[in-house]
Amino acid sequence: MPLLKVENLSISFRQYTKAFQQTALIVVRALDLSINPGEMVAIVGSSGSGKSLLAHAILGILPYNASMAGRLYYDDKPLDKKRVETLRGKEIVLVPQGITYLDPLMKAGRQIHNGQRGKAAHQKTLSILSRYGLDEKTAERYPFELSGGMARRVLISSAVYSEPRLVIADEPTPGLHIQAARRVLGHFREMAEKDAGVLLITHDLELARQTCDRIVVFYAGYTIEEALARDFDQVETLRHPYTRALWQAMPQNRFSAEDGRQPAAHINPEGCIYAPRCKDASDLCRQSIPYQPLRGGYVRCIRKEHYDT
Amino acid sequence: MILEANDISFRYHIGSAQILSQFNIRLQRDERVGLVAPSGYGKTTLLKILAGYENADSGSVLLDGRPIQDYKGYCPVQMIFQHPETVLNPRLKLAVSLKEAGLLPRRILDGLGIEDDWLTRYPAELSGGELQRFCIARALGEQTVFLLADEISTMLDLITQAQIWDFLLKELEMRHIGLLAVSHTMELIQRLTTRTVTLDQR
Repeated sequence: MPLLKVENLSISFRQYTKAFQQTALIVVRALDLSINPGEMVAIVGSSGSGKSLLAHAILGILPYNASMAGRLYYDDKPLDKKRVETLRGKEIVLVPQGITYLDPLMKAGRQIHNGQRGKAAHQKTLSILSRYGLDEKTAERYPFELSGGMARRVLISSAVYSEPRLVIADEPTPGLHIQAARRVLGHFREMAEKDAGVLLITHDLELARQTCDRIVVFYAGYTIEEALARDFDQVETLRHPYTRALWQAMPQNRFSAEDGRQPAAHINPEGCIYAPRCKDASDLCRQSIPYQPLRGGYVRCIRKEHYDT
Repeated sequence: MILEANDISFRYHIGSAQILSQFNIRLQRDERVGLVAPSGYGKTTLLKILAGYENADSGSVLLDGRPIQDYKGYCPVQMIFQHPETVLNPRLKLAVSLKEAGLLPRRILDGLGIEDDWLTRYPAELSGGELQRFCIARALGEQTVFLLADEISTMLDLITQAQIWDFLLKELEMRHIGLLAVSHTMELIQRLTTRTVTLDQR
């Protein structure tokens, strides 16, 4: 039974085009996702593809001008606004993207134990800090006294303090050197081994490949592929032309730059979202493209040869 | 032309951590060098000192034998920062910020995929990846001799990263601009540079 299940989620923003004209800008469409206890799932996508919004939607902290449709289940029960308010910060935690989420006027230690007093809280704070390679002096520092990488580890420390069951980590590793990044992901893995679910939101495909069990690829608001991490060992096992282009662009593979770019959110072509950049697009790609199971994963592409290989 | 730092030491405040002590580095114009170190070891600080944004407490930074502070106007050593949103004036349209580099050839704007209608917008209206293209363009003024790149592609997706470096490497080679690049991704450093320097003191 999945710990978290997301069904047909879409997120849109109200926008004013002219003085009194409102339009809805759809930024996430028809998203399906599930995370089992003990599993690490990565969502990989470029900036502006709507990844962070997914995290905010799960936690019920979308901005006031955003609205969502679709269904969320946590522990097999609907996750509504009221329920998530009682769970977040305890069972469900967010490791936010920006280090600006730290309170600039509060010492790091206090942000980790959330104001709890007493020796036990202090000891626990120090032991978490040391797990991330930070010494006890860090607890006494204000955010401006920390380097970018240290501030990030403080954010992670404050998230794991409550021993959560679902961790949503939104780009937790940029600015960390590779060993520190692996160590952080290693700690998420430890939590997964104790049956927590981890959702990692990242654009670092290599890190996702090395540390997660499944990878969901996001493109312009659509989930276009769900693959096992090991499907990324070679390009042939990947299911979508965009995922293949991503693989080719990795510095350790061909470092090759495909032309074109992700369409802006207000542009919504009929049919396949990737068709304008796809070498193999045909007239068939103008119809609506379903998200279908394929070889243990999913793909949003109708190209026959991809189903066969 | 050579950019060199001789025995530079630096700390932000008296009593705070010594970030650099007696550090030396020497770059040739036709070189591309990678700078590798864990976070908090002073990579960004070193780049800022080399570009003249910070002054070392002791030691010297020389470009072509002259102290970097003596160069007035557009500095021939240009730094591109990790977070573009923090180095663009939020109250200026991007076309205005871009003028700081003087007149840029069309080739640069096209090569970086900067679209004409972005020029009339404010920084808050573009994404981090879009803003970074402006910061790169701004660092490619006519006088640029060395480019210091501080994790400039971490916020980009893989395809955009490959697109931008593909353009940048060609541009650097054509104009004989030297590169000092910081990245945590060793595979990327290996693609970009001819040698690496490790910053391991602290």
